[in-house]
Amino acid sequence: MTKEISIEVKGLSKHFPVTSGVIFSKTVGVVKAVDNISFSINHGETLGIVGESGCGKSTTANLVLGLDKPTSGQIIVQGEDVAKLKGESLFKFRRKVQAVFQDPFRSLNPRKKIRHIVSEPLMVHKVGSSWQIKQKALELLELVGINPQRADLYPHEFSGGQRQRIAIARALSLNPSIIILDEPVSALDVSIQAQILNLLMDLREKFSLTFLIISHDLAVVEHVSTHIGVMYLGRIVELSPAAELYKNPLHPYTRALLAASPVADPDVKLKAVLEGEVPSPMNPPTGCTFHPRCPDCKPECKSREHKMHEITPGHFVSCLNFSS
Amino acid sequence: MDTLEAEGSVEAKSRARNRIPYIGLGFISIFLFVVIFGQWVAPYDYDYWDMANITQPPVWLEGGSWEHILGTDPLGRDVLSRIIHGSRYSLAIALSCIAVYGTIGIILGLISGFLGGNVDMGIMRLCDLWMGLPPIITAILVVSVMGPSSLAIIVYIGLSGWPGYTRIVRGETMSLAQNDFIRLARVAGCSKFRIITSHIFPNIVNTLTILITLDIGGLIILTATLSFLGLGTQPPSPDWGLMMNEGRQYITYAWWLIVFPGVAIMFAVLGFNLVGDWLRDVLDPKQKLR
Repeated sequence: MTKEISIEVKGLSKHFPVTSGVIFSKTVGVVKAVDNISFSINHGETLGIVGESGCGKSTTANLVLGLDKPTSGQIIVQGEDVAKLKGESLFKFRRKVQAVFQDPFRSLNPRKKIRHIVSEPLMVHKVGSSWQIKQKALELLELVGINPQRADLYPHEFSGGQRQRIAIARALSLNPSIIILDEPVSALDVSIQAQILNLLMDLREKFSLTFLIISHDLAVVEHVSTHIGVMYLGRIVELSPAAELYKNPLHPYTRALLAASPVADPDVKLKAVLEGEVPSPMNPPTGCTFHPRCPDCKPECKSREHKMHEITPGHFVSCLNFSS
Repeated sequence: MDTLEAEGSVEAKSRARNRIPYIGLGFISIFLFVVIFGQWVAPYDYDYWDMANITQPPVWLEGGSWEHILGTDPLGRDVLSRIIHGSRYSLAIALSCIAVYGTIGIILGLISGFLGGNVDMGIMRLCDLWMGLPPIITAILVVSVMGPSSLAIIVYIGLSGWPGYTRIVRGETMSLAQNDFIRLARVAGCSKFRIITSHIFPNIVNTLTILITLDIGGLIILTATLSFLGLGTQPPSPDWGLMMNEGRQYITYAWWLIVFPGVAIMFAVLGFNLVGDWLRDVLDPKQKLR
């Protein structure tokens, strides 16, 4: 496999101002939804980002998709800085990067036939004649396992899993090289989740796609990812190849997440490993943001910020316990 | 949660479907029948003066005859024929008003709700300003500039009625814009124009259908009121409001001149309101109150 970098994110931050007052509103603080994160994904690889809700996962997805402008930092997708794209070049960028979102009940326009939903990107980008576009839509539906004879039905006539397949068909229509999956299966039944994940992996193989998959569920991410990043309060605290992370989790937060994921054994009782709530991202703790909940907290964790350190090749962690 | 909600709405829908407002539909059917075929149904022309039978009472009273079922006015014009012809004026004026302010209101609402920010702020403040104008005084102003006519009514209502639509469409647009399919449309590279016209607008059509049906009734009353005040349609047109105005001075001895046009207005409005309420339940079972 070539080691060509598909997505490279450098020092990416997104801060949302918090205003108060009705008429003369003033900024009273900022929410650091994404705070100085960096990662890169090679062509054909899959990076899974996990974290609790509110840790900035979906904001990262929006930034990479170019739906939001970053406060600082760069997102370089195949040599282009996404934040600087405008007009025509942004339009061309759309053909390379597509997305699938969480809720299949909200991600398909209820007033359109699924044939039109799948072919809309083709029509917008004027790829081929209308007859070709129609054929392509039917092919795509067949590819994701939807009977093309049902192409003239509306989304409400399909189940959640089928709708997610339709959403995937739409994402594939422009032959993108990158697909951002924002919680692609968390709204689905567990039995359907596996089907959708397997479909995604088949498609990745077939079209040599690069995935950025975002989830709160470690099991989902483990299933499909080659690399995993763990996010906490807008920062990536650990980044590692998938197998390595499960074998040798270093950051206390990663260890807690792994310990908290359910085991298929009714006799094993889950321990609540972490205590307390996620602190407010408007007023994050000093030093290591995880220190108030960390079981291995040292005095200097409260004051010293620390950077990512490479412990073994490709395995980065941001924790004082491993910095020496 | 989702399934429960869906079941509840399905139930509400089927309940609403089961109690079809036959009375309302009946009134509307008669009204539309008269609008379309009135020319052939009406026994006389609306401006035919039967000078031999002036101020004749309805057929069931002493002095009435089958020639003029609902009686005649002091010029010998047949009241029934005038009411039948007048239905056209009511509907045409009401629909023209809706066409004018509906278009303005919907476009501004879509823009305001989708673009947000300062554009939204500007449009909303304009709405507030517009709603603050005193209606009758503005009507008199428009009429004194244009002269009293049906066109003046359409211009006045058309230019003053849009803020209600703008607000409702804006609200709907804002809640729709939160949906992931709008985000995905942006990811697909759709222009703002395409998102508004092909993703947002089709999803507010139900709401608009309800709004327009409920509005026709109100507009029939409003235009009749303006004509009654002498600001609108001019004689000898058989507008219902105008007929009531003309009959006003004879009310002591020729009550049928004012009562029958009033009854016609009432049934037309009742029909549209009953059907509008039912449509709201069928098309939008979640939104019980508005």
